[in-house]
Amino acid sequence: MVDVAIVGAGQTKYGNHQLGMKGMWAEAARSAYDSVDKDFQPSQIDEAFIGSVAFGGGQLGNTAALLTEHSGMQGKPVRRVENACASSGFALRDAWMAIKSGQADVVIAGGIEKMNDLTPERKRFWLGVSGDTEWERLAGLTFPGTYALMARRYFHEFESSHDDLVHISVKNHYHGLDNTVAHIRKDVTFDKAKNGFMVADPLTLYDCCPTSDGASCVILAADHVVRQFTEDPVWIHASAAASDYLALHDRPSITQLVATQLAAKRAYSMANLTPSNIDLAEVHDCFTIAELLATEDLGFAKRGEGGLFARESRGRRNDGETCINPSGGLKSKGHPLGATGTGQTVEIFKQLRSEVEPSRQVRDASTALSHNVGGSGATCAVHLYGRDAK
Amino acid sequence: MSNFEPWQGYLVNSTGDYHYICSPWKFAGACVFGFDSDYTTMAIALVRYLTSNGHQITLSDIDEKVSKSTLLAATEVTPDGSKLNLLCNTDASLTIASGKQPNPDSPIDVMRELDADIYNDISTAWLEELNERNISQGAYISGQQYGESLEARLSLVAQDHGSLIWPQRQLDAAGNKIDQIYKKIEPAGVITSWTKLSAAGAPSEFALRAPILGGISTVMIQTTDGPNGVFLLVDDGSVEPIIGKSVELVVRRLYAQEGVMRYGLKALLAG
Repeated sequence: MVDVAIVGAGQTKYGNHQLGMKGMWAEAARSAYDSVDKDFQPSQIDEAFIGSVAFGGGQLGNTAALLTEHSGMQGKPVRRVENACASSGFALRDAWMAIKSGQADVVIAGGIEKMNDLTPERKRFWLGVSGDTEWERLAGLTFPGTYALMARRYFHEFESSHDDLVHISVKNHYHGLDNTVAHIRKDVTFDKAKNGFMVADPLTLYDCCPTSDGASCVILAADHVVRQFTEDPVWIHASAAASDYLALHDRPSITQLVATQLAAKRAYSMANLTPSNIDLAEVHDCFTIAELLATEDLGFAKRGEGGLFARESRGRRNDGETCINPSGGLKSKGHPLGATGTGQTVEIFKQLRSEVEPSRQVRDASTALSHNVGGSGATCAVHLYGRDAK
Repeated sequence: MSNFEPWQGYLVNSTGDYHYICSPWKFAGACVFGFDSDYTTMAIALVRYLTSNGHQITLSDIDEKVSKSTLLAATEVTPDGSKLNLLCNTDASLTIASGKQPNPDSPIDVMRELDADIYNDISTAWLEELNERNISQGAYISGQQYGESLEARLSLVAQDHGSLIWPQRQLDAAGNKIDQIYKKIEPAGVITSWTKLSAAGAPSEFALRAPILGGISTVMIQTTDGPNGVFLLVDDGSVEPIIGKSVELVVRRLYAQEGVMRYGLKALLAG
């Protein structure tokens, strides 16, 4: 079966962006086109998948058609992919499958979200749209609340405390400090993160990712056309996904994300890799507890030892085992919902090609993982990447 | 006070001639509703009190201040069957009695005083929330969607499918429609986790009241019969919950939208 590689990747800076959706998407697409080593034209694209929640409802229908007309892709088959915060992780998987199926050779996977052009009132309405509306929302829960429930239960079941989450926050801010596309670039001390404003007890402001504007775009190619574009591709060794109950209270346990476990198991099996093979991982740390659980669910730490993993700085860049969130993660780099998944892939593309800022480079990195979660874990996409073709 | 007993967060006085329930809160010397109560929630509590004491309640008249559809969904009361009337009093109390309405004195001396500013602000916020122009722009529970799950929401009606399934589900893992065999879950359980959201983190449905209350608290409960659920605290209380502590689930106001009050279960901490 055909193998799939990434031949180009680009994104906007994340944050409070001056550009609107059309401008941001054009910037991300242009950045991806320019990153291709050899000549590349949008006319070579066969298909496009663009992840977005369409936050704010400004262009809820036919989002992708609007965006592609502003990025030289008129006439191409396009669609919006929506799976909450995992939208572009699933767009990437859809693009991968389009090539795997033999129906396309060059495919765009991307994502976009414009979150900060709304009034606070309208923003508040949209922030909870991906949770379980009928039961969780009417019990007062938005995502800070659901992840807070997970955190408190985790502390109850295992030897862990909020301090473990503080270590994650401090580490991710450290990783993101020199990332020029990151939303929040500042060093955060342990004491500051520990004593932040309480958002959803026990989670403070420093446990929560920001709401960001941003767009990201990657270009995938089938193995038989890769050399038209680059001699230095990044290969996608596995694409896997899974789902779980939407509401927390329907799940047997709230201290693990079954969708992550299932997707990871399938991905490792597909690529014939184990967690110990992974040099760096971009994991979905919308809240610090999410990263703690991910380190367990992805197999980097044993069950119940995610806190210990954080305390011992085992995810720190060039100072531990697998580098967790070298970009700064959602916590520092930012979280423009629909753009986050392929934004993780942009970071991995650049890390594996040694194209990030030198101070951020993970040494000798050749194998990577991305982990993109929708909502509180109802959907999850896991991808594995490598420098070498399998 | 000796004739009054606490029941589902209220005070009940039941005699052979009448059954009376009132709020445990007072303000400016009068019995007033708590932050999430009204005549409907108290009517449900009183009917449930009588049912738990072996009464079968049929009512010939239900005061129009009580949401009849909510009362019928939440209790086993049947209308038009007897001489009993459900009548709301002028304060935060109501009576089920036959004939002329008795109005026993409220046990004002044992009631707890509400903060004046918060009481006034919350009352104003409810009025604003009930305004028909209060329309959601994002996640939204339509009147039909709310009505479809009303018995599950108010009475914990679950599907009995080997194990109890609540909230109810459509098909099982084999793709078969889940049996239409229903069982009510005991409205009690223990806290398995909890959080208190800041006003800024609360859903938009609570945007008017959360800032006044200083945030809203949610608990995850494992019911005595097994299924889990998430619930707000009764009276929007600021008491810090404890994992493992027992709770009772009682009906209260959740929020209002487009002129319609939405009711649901909330957690009343034991003791």
